[in-house]
Amino acid sequence: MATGTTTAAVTVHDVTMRYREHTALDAVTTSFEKDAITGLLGRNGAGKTTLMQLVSGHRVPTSGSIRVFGSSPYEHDAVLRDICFIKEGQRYPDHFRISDALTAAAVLFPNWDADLAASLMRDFDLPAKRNIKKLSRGMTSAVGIVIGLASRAPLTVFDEPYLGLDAVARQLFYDRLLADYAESPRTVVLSTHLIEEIAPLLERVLLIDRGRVLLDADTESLRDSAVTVTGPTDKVQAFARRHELLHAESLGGHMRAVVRMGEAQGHRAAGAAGLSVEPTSLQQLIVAMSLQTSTERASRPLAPAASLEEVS
Amino acid sequence: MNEDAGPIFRQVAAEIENAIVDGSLAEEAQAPSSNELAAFHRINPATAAKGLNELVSDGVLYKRRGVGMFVATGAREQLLKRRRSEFADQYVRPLMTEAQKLGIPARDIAAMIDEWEGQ
Amino acid sequence: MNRVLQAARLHLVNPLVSLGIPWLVVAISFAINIAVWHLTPAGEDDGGFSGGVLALYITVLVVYVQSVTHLLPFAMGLSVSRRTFYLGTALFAVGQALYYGIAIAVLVAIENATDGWGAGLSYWAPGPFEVDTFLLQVLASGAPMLAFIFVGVGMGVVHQRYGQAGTWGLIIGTTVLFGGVSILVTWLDAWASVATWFSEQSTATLTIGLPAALALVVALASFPGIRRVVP
Repeated sequence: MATGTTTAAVTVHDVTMRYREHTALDAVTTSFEKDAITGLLGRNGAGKTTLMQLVSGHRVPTSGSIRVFGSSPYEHDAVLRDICFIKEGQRYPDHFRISDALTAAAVLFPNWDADLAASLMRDFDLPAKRNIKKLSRGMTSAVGIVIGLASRAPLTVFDEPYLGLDAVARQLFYDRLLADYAESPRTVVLSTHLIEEIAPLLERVLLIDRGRVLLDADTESLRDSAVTVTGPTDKVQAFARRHELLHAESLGGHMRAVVRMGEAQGHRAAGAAGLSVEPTSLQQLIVAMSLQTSTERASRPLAPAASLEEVS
Repeated sequence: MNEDAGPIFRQVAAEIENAIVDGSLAEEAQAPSSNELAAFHRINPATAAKGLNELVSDGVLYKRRGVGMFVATGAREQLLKRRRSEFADQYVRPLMTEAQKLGIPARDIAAMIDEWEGQ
Repeated sequence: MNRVLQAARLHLVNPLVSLGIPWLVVAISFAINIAVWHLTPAGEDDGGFSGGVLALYITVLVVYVQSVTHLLPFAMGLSVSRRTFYLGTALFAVGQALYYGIAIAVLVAIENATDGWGAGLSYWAPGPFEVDTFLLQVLASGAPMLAFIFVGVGMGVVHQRYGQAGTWGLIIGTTVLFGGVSILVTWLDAWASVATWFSEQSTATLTIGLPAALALVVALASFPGIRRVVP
């Protein structure tokens, strides 16, 4: 899958989305690879939800073009039936029970898998006859997950599907997603703040920050794209000057810096400089990059310490 | 798999190599499939496949069409040879770095190793 | 087309509320009317009709406001286009108007056969809405229902598209429009001609033609509104 021909299920070309007072997306060009799981990451208000709404035909971009399986999704039933967008805070008719929502989904999604839906209902312990409005936040999220997975839509988009779910239920979601994805590969887009948890599931990552693409790459090469170097401050600073520094924090005479370079190269270079080198996790990299852009904007020399670990 | 330990496909490959080295995955035995690895480690199947493919290109595993991946004959020997060559870099270097920091001379370390052997 | 049918089918998922509530409301109204007619001499004057059946029409209107405000965001969440949802809803609306027309025509037939439920009550087709044949009665009762349904759909669309402010705007706008027209008619001293015009129209035009035309106008007017709804 890493090699060979890969085509895009979704292409976003030069898309700008402006609301009355602000620009949610600013000249975004990207694509979602077919049959891959892509993580859509970014801070609150970065434009993730807007992007998902555009891809699902819920909104029309101010300018630019969106193509899903080759056509514009907006008001296009032939494309829409192949898309399942599980959005945060989906509204259900007042008197609908869970079983009613599933009945409706079974009517509308051509690839609906009723057996899968039934087994997910058991897994998440969902009461079919309970009114959806009366469910807890987590159970409502679980209903979305059941619909999203059982739709088996060629493009399935989840907007923070785990809200209110406990750790066990989230693990269940990841397991079932992987199992079903392995059985019938499809294009999955997941927006999330729980980078650490979801990172192993992702084949690609799209990081957006204030409406712009900051990172658009496959996760494995990202894991090998930055190292965390620690050692005496002067040595680390000297090292960082010679390479691309993403983020640094210091404590006393000690400094930790996230530097852009491959693991092998990092070991050689920093090892020679007498510094200790560790791989940088996806979460650390994402945080470092997001902080870097926000500090550039505020033109502060260094991001406040402590915020490196603080996310999600 | 460990999120803080670099690319996951390398961790997958290393784990299978370990199994071959310690004998739990015998030569000519079938290696786990990418979907099995994905489910077990909760990782993307494409990532697991990448780990397996790396082992195939190293000659550690080979593909049987429509059946799966198998451990090549001689794979264990090949891995042992490579690991022995990497031993100094992976284990002796950090040992010596730490020893230098603590001011332990190399001959003392040699003595410690002799003592260890004697136990 | 298939997708439109699926969208129409959505209205039949758990239909107890949308199908049941209007009948529940009108049944209560009907029971009150029957009681009044039996206990008082209301039916003895000629005519003896009640406007109680309006409760059915209004409840159906409210049901349709809700089916747009509740079902549209849900349908869009299940990847139905706005246009398809609208067409499916319109299709279902026509079907329901026909169904209500038939049901009311049957009740009118019973009403006439039982001498107004034994009390001279003309409930189901009051005044000019009572027509000669069963088939015509289906249309005379069904066409106004279609108009009520589409007004409900239109109100729902305005609410979805422009929010609460839009709904109030619609109500104020409509009031101003009708008020303005009445002032205009009064000013032109034309009430007599208006009355003449209405009296010159056939019952069929008044009970079938005008409501159907209204339904069509509202249907066409609300269609563009739904195209930019964001769920």
